[in-house]
Amino acid sequence: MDDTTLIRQAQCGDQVALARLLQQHYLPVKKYLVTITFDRSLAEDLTQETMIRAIERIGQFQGRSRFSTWLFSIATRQYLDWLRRQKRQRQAEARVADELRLAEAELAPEVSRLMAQVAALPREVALPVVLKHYYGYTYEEIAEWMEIPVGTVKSRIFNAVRTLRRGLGEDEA
Amino acid sequence: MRRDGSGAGEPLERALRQGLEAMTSPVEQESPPDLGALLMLVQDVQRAQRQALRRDLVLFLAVAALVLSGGLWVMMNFPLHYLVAQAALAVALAAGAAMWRAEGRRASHE
Repeated sequence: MDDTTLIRQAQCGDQVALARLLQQHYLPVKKYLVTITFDRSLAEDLTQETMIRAIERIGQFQGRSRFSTWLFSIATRQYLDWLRRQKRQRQAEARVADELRLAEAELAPEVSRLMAQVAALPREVALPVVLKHYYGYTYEEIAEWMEIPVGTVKSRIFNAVRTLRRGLGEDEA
Repeated sequence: MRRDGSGAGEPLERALRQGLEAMTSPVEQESPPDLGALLMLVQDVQRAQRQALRRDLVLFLAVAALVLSGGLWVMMNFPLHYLVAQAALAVALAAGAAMWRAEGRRASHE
């Protein structure tokens, strides 16, 4: 069954349709959270939180974006809230380092270096870089999700990308 | 992974894609939770939501009844005070609305 039908049924109170919809999107959301948190166990927790928020707010989904995009926006806010609420920046960085070490074996040296650089960025800077350069979201969408001005998003990405390119040995074009 | 479907042409984007895909590859091997577990989650969350809604409604009605009965009591016993308080409230609300509108206009010019 496609998303549109399941969403309509879920919004009419069909709990099985909502469960099925969440099941279809569970792994994409978790994958998305791994890419923005760099931390698989945190991604697992935040996926659960995202599913709970989605259940609470399914009635508010208006179909202006894809359902997966709507879930990603909820997931992003969950992650930002986690960073703000817990102030676990240092703890997060340690877990990110562990995660990178696990992935490092499969990576080319320059990719590994880039990932270490991305992981070393402050989380509120790494997030827009991944959203823009991996997922292709617009500055406006990122600003809306992160609840910051578009100009701030642009400058964070510009500065981060300049640093990352320098690390990759690219020219600053 | 880019949702516009364009390939990550730049070296930076290529390297980022490779790195992130290596990190997410273990998730590809996982299976999503079974439908029964998610159905239970849906039922639990929606039950909690209904309880919270009921609690908020009762609280709202209790506060509304208190405010209304207080207002009525003041109106019956001290009509002049009541009128003065009503006028002051109307002026404060109008001033607040004007300030809010001016603030919004200033923000949209910036």
